[in-house]
Amino acid sequence: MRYTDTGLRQMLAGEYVLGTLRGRARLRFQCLLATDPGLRAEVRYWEVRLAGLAHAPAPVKPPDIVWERLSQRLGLARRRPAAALRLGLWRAWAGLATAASLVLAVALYLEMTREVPMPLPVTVEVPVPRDAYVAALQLADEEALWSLTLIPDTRTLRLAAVGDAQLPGEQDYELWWLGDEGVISLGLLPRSGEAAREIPADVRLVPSGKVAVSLEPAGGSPTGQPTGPVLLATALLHAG
Amino acid sequence: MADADTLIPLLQATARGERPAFAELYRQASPHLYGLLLRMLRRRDWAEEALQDCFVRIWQKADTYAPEKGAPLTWMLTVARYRALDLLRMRRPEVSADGDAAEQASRLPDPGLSVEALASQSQELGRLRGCLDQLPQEQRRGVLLSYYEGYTHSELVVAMEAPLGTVKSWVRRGLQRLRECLEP
Repeated sequence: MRYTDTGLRQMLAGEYVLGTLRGRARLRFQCLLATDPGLRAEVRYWEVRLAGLAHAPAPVKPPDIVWERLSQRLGLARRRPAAALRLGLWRAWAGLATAASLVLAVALYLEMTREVPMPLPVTVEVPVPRDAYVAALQLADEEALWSLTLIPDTRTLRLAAVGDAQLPGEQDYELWWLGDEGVISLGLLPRSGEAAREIPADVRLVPSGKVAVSLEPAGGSPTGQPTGPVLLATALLHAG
Repeated sequence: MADADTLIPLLQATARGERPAFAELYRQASPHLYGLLLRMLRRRDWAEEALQDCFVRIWQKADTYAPEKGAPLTWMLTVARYRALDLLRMRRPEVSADGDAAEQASRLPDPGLSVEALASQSQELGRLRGCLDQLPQEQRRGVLLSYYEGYTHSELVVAMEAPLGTVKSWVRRGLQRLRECLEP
């Protein structure tokens, strides 16, 4: 078959999109498509023109199981087993004093109107210094996990990542303080390992304070306020 | 509603590997794809499997979406249609043009709502609506049966009770006339 005749090319493209081009003719056409931009344009012509027909059947919500299987298949629903999580956190906190405390991370942040994915409550036993505020930061769809410790005496903030952050290089997670004084950046979550820094002077550490994590461009929010989706918001636990 | 203004940023974020955006894209677009797949495949298990396949492809190929491929939902519906055609080709019992007509016809699914009535329900047809209306009935029916049922030429022979050469030319002339009408 010759593929140089315009009418023939248009017709074959139409039959390809419609589905009536079958068998070896379809395979041969697909091979040509890979190397022939003009033919791809013909196919696109029909795809776009006929697509109106594809809108006709009434939408039907698929069963939830399809999404569950899909996220498993794509590895979107990976979760760290509880035992590994506990051990990891223990290591992250090794070196600190040993007052044991229960940390329960629950999203409480209601100020944002957008829907915030609720993390699963995680119960872990961790050793913490005397008089500290702590939180475990578990983000939806992120394998890594962070422990946050705020120590009022020394105005020190410690972060320790368990695992390596999975997000692409052009993005960072930014930590925010949510208090009566407003939303104040506490800097970026380390992509791995530990970080310690001074708590900004305008943060008043009070038991009612909360922290949140948002997704930002690499280096953090350009505006000083969260610009990306809020991935987590959680209350602090006072350990003392 | 799944409109381009919300779907384009979701597709772009999906291309960057952002999982929450992909989840939202699925939430908004999947009912449209699933509706089309159910109509074409007529079996829930096939439609569910095909829907999964489509979104695997959308997750992997989101970066290849470009506005000239049509509105984002159009692009995703195109992905779904090709997937349905592949499945039909693999799974539907073969119909040959020279077998016993009644026995062959029983292998084709009951069309239910006629393809002409179905097509007329779309709010997105634009100029295609008028152009379809201008086609002779056999040509319109040949095009629509191929589009919605994924019929092969052989299946069209059985469904339309006409010889192979005739149904082939109905489809080809139909496409040709549609093109002339869409681009005068």
